[in-house]
Amino acid sequence: MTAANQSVGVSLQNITKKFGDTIAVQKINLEFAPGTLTTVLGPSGCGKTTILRMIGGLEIPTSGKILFGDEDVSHLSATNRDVGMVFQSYALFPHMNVGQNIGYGLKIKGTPQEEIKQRVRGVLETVGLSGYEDRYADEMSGGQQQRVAVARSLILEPKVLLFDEPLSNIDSKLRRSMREDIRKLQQETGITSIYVTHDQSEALAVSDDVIVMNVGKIEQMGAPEQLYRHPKNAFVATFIGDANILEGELIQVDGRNDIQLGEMMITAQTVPDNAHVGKIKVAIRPEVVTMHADKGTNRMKGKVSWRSFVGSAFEYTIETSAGELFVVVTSTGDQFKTGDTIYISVNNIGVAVLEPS
Amino acid sequence: MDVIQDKSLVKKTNKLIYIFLPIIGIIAYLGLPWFGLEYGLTDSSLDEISEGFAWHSINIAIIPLITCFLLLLHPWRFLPEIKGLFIDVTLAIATILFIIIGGLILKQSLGLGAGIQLIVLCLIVSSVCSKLGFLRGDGFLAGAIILIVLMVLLFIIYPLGRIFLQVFYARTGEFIPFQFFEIITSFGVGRVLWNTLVMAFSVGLSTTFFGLVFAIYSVRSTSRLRGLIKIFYILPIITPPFVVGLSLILIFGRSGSINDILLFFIGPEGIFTPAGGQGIFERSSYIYGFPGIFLAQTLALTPVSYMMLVGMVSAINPALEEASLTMRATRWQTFKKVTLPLIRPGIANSFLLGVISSAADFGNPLVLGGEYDVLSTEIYFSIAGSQLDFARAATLGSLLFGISLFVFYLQKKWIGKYSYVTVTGMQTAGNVIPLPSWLQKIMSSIVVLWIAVVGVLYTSIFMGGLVAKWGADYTFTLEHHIELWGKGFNSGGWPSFFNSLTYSLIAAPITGLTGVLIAYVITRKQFKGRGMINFGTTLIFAIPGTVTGVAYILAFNTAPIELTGTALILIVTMVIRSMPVGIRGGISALSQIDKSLEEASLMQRANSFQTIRSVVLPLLKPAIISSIAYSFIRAMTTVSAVIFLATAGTSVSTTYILGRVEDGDYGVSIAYGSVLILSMLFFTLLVQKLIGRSRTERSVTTK
Repeated sequence: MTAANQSVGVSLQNITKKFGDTIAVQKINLEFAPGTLTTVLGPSGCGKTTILRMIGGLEIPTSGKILFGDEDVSHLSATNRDVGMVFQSYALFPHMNVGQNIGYGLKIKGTPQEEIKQRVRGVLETVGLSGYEDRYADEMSGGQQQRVAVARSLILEPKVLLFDEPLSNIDSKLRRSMREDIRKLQQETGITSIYVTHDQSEALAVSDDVIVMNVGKIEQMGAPEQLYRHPKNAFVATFIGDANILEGELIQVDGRNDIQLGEMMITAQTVPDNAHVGKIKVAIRPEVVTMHADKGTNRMKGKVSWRSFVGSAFEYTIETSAGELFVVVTSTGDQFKTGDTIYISVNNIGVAVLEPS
Repeated sequence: MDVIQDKSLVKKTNKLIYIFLPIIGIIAYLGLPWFGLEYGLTDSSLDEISEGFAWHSINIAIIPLITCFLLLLHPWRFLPEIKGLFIDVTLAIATILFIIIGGLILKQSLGLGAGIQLIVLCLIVSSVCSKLGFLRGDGFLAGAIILIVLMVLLFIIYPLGRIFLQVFYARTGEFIPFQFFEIITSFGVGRVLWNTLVMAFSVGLSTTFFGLVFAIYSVRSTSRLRGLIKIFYILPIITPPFVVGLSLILIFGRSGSINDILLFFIGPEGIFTPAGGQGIFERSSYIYGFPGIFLAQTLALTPVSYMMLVGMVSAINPALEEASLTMRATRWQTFKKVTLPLIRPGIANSFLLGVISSAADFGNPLVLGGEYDVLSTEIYFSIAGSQLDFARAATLGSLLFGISLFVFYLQKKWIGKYSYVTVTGMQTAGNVIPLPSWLQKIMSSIVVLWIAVVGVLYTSIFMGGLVAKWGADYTFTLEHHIELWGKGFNSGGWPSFFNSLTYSLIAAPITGLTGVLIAYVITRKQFKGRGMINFGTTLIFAIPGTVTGVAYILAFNTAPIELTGTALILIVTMVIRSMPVGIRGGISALSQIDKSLEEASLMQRANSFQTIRSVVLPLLKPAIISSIAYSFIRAMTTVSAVIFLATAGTSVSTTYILGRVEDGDYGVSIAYGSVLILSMLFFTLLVQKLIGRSRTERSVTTK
């Protein structure tokens, strides 16, 4: 597989999209750095697919500009935009075999037959499906079909590669290996890629950057770990991973950010710029809460109201004075029963102060 | 305004606009008669044809010629691009208007040469528009859309306009605005209007009722009888509408079989009549008038209602009814409160369709009407025969059209765009709930009775052609068929049969392919003018055939476009009349194709034309074949529009049969009808074998 063209950055400037009276996307400004894989993440209806389709040329923005590098492509149709797209439904042409599907774009361009065959072979090898040229879509599994779809997009060496929830129709067991394959492929070819999904663990796993969207607006942007450790608001905190949103009191003493949470005092590593002393909301990740049998120092008292065993972990619901807590403990650790009185402590790394609303 | 920059596309479009198309325009001027020929291309003598050429003299045809040369030379190519394109488009549009208006004013009819030039100019306009950014540079779609708009304007809007105009203008050309009221309030019109409405309403009810019975029966009953209902699919399509009426005369007419039988049993000399008594039955013409038309239309239109409802009934998700049963409802309660409400849109739709079809029906009222006049026959009699009262025909036609449009509007308003009930991609498990057994028994008897009646009727159709004189002389004879088929290919039924075949074979592919194209353009693309195309093509559904016939006579009998008397107008009529069906079929077929397939093709650098050719068409093949086949059969059996437009030279099967009926030659008419039915049956079975059945049907397993 030859290295891709000079990879370009993608830039959305003041993009708005209306469908009739409904505003799907409102004055969005985004930069996608060349060679990166960025995921746009959000619940159904948040506008992420609309943005992807506008970049691909399948929808026309109501207003605003789209640039590939320095080139304004806003008025170009999908046919002329040099973009590849992998669809959720694979969109393999059912009346053509794998070889014809992948070679379709080259045939349109008028490439000689021999060269088409050779390049198809090459790209099939890249996706690990050598020898599949004569198969038809209905003779292959979902995972294989998706790989053919990826191959079909890659063969034209596009400037930008778009993924529209490519793994939604794949068995969950297979998703992990497929997303690794996609990520590896993207890193090898270095094509600027934009990925859309509603599955947050998928987003965290494959991306250089993640953009979290809600109802047509961008909530937060950043590297996966950054988003996970420092969510700005309750939406981002609960959309990416699970979080316990609790109310506490911010006390700033000696430059430290201490928060009084029930009977316990915890420290946040950073606080948002507009945080002020007094009542604030914190997000606490369930896996950083430790449960103890004894009172100890600086621990909050709680009662186990529910327990579930999910194989690798125990999930507990705990009633405390600061509210209800959802806690996850690996199943090899200490075990408690429903009704037990316990004392909890928190690892600061999993505490984030949310922006005041 | 941004101009499309893709270099190879620009080169191709330039060649098209400035070289290829103008050359065709010039060839059309030189090689084809520019002016219209009175008898059409095939019937004119060589002298007449050569007179039609434009290069004999200086005339209006010079102008488009000059335009073509100008485009070839392209002297303004050194101007900035956008200015140059505007010059192109203005020049082309001006030329188009010049040709049309010139023809109108000078009362010169336009011929083939002019027609081709008009198309060339339209394509130039569309290519230039697409370069200017219309449809984002998609030249193929731009051209297609402009041609479709042209078709809608020319063959739908313009004729309708002419009919409305005629309402207000006397034959002599004066403007009489109150003519409309005079005609409406004149004697008899009120009665005719009332008759039409009463008939339409009754038939709407009866067809919906029976259609519903059969639909539910065929999907839900556990009897083996439901297999017989399969004939419903075929019968109405292959039968020319009035043939059912004819067979009713044979059976129930004055000299019909039933009368004979009843006379035999309970007539004045019947075997059950006491001697000397009068008997309780006398020969009469009870079938003529309301009873006959009602019976004929119900028999003919119920299968259509059935087809509409069976789709809905079989697509009901069984989980809904199973849920009802688990909540302790009986099968009847479930049927009444869950099943029927789910099909309510279909029932309303079927009723309204029955009303429109009945009001538009021409053949049956003509044959069986007797004293019961309806609008469609009144329109016909205004023009046929010596009256030639176009104002009256136009007024009545407008009335009929108005009724149809109103019902159509009701349909849109009440039902709107309801999605076909629960047809999802998911195959839900679960058998369909069978009917309560008492209901099934009642339905079975209705079905058996119906099939018996239909069986008798169709038997009489075939036998009627083989007996000397039905009702009087039942000797077996082949003389009717010999008269039709045995006297050489130039006499009897052959000329009309060949004409029907030829015109239908030309019209059907045009309808099928154009229908798919229009369906594609309407459903997949957003552009200005989409609403107009959608409206215009749907309007055809609401226009009764007789109204189309009158409108076409008025519109195409004079310059600039004279088509009456030619084969072309018949073909155009057939194409337009079947267009909505082709479009609906196209829309439904396209909805089965995931949009992402076309998007994937676009992403692979294919344009719309390549996408349609390589992805959409191959996947639509079965639907297109089906659509073409259906259009062919419709074209073969159409009567209400062509009755006005067929001449001695262009007669088709249906007009020939009706002509013989008017002469009283029932034997020959029925014989011809039976041959027509058989050939259509054969054709339909052939096509069905090629396609197979659809996959979303669901029915009860027979015990």
